[in-house]
Amino acid sequence: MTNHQIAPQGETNLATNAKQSGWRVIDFAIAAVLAVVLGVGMWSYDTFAYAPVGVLFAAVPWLAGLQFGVWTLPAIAGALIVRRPGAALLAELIAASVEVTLGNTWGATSLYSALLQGAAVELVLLVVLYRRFNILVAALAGAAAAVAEVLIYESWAYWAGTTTEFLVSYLAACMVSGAVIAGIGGWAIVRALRAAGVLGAFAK
Amino acid sequence: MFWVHLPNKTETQKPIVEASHLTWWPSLDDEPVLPNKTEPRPLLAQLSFAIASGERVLLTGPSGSGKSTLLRAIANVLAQTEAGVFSGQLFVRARTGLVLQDSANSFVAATLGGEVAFGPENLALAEPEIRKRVSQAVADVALPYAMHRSTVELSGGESQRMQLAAVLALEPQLLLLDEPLSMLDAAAAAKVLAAIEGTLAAEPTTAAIIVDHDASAWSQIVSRVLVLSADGRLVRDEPISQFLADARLAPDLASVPELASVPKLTSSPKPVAFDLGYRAHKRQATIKAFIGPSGAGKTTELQKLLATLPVAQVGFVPQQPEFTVAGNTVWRSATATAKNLGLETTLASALLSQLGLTDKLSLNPYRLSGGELRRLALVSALAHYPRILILDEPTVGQDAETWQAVAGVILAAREAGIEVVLATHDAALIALADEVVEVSPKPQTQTAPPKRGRIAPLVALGISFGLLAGSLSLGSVATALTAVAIEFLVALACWRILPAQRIKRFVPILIALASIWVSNSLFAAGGISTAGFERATVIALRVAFFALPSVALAGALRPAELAAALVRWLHMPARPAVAAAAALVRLEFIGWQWAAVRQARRLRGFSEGRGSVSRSREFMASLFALLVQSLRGAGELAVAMQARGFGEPTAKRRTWVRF
Repeated sequence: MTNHQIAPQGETNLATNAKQSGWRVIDFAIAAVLAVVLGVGMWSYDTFAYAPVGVLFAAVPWLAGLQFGVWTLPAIAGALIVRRPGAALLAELIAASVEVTLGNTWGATSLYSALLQGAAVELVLLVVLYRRFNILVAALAGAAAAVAEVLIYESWAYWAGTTTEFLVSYLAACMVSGAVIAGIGGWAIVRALRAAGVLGAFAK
Repeated sequence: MFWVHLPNKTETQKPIVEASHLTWWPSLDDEPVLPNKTEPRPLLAQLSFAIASGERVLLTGPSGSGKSTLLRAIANVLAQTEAGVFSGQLFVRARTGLVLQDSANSFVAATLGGEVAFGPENLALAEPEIRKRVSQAVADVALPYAMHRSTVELSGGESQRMQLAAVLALEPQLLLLDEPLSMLDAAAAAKVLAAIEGTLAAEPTTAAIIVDHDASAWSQIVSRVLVLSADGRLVRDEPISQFLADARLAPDLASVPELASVPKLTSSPKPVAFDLGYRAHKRQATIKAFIGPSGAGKTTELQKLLATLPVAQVGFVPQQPEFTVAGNTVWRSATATAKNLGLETTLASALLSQLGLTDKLSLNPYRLSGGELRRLALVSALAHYPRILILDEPTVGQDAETWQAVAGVILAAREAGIEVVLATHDAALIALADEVVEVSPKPQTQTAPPKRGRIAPLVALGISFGLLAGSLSLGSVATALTAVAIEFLVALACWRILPAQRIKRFVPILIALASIWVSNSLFAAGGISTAGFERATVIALRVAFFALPSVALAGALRPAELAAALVRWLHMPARPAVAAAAALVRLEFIGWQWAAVRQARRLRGFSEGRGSVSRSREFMASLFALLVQSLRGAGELAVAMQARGFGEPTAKRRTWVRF
């Protein structure tokens, strides 16, 4: 695959295989569209499943934390596909704004949650220098998002009156869910999307 | 890079496109390994040609020969949006403007003005210059709408003209048009053609490369024809007069493989029916065609019919064939319905070979060209021995040879006693029908503009976050209750400026408040006590204090406007915000896409079952299929954005014009 001619001076051969380092256009487009669809998924969960599941866990309310991962899926999936700093944050914020626009429980404060969760996922990826995107990193990132959400937000906003045991149990439930639903689930979704052939422009 | 080298005085004689040994291998890494895996071969093979400034060229060749790929390479968007390897050389010495075949994936903005301004904004031109270019480009394509006209309300032909205007606003020196007429009915196509003709007549120095199967439509515009062969080589490069004369003198040359690519020039295509090997009915079947202009309701007629039929008896090819894809190889997708219904796959094999897809069996369906994907959808619709075949625009994107194959399959179905009902604007296909029903357009109802609140998105966000922080200062039941009561009165006073909210929106938050109160009471630090209940009440009221207004203000957070405001006032990076806005425009279609995905899965025999487990499994599978469709669209969106300068360094400090 060598070039047969010398390039005329000052001109660029468009048939080059050089890789672009920063965000590509396709990174933005895929992250944003993925987030919109997952945002609609989150909204349908809020609308159709959140209340019934709440009733299911009424006797042991901290178990409701097992749903947490549903809302961190966009951050993990976005990060695993795009693999660039900021992808998790962007996907999570767009998904949350879709959820808010369509109408969810918490209104505009969901964007605050999204900021925390996206930032936590970014932090875990920063630790591995945006070089590892395996199932373990994904699960850790999902659990980290739960820590950020519960400690930096819900502990004082929603659960300020509860016992430490309740809060710890709730945090554990959220972390499990973040690791399993968002982390492992997000990893599995990305793998399936790759098999479906729509992520051809992205690294494996 | 968007334009590589601006011509200067000494270089005006150089060709604006110069390719030598240009070769492109699409990456096959993600293909599943099958025993009959075909050897990877280049999609573009050793292409050498040059195009001079102001020259107008028709690029043609059989379906799947790499015409769109070559156009994308010249627009410098191929390597950034698809996996593959180049060799050889390609120099482009002009600003290019690429118009994609399916305008449905191309739009980036919610308004006509925003769409056309997108390219110039990415070049960071000054606002007055952008406004001038936008109104000029919209006038050039004769769109009679105000700049704030919603893009999603435009018809197929109008939206194709809008995409042309969006490219003209870049003032390209080389127009790249990918089958710009193929998705349109005769009337809409005539208007798009007139817009292209007008533009090229007004700008004699603008060169153009037009991809089409039908040379005759362009004979007044182009002077030269390039023909690609099925294996991606350049097999003819000659003046249009010679090309047309050859085709007229020897129409039977269509049997020579390379000339088979000469599209629809042979007097009248003669599709031949073959034996499908089974009979659906004893009685004679018919072909019934719904015709009429786009938007008249042809598709609606097909949908009415579909709703009444059981899955096993019907085969359906929707207007967007990608919805029928099931499985990650051509073979799996072709046979999915038959396998779901427990039937043999012999008919699938026969149809795949009849429609020229045999050497693509192990390819991922998403790697097929538009015309090939439509043929695969036809195989998928017939391979389970249905009694009725319903086809929406089955001949779009076919060359003369594959047109005959598609029409041959349709005739074969009729011979086999299968009732065929189709919607089409293809005159040659209509000629084959036994019954033609004209659908006349209904008067269009104008959609009312959405009701808008008068609160700026950043203000709404500020209030929400401010109340969240402020809730911490509420210490006792009395102060918390007072604060919530004041909010309630403020809300009543401001009701008119709040976006219309239905009371329904507040039901979930009220349930959540109750659950927070119960949890904080039952699990109170210090056990269940009066003090614990009081504390729980304060916490629930705090949440009410910040969450109720947040829900009320949610309607003011229209995401596209929020994204614009974040860039404008908080100096957030522009490109993520623009990408978000482009993705959010697609929210308008997601309900429709969801319905299409559900229908396609049902008709391909993926049954929902009765139990809640199998129903939620099918729900998840549908959601995944929706994600796949959307991301495929996102790939095309990226091409459209890249082709309009979104990858340029200037896009980082792009202009933002409000329409």
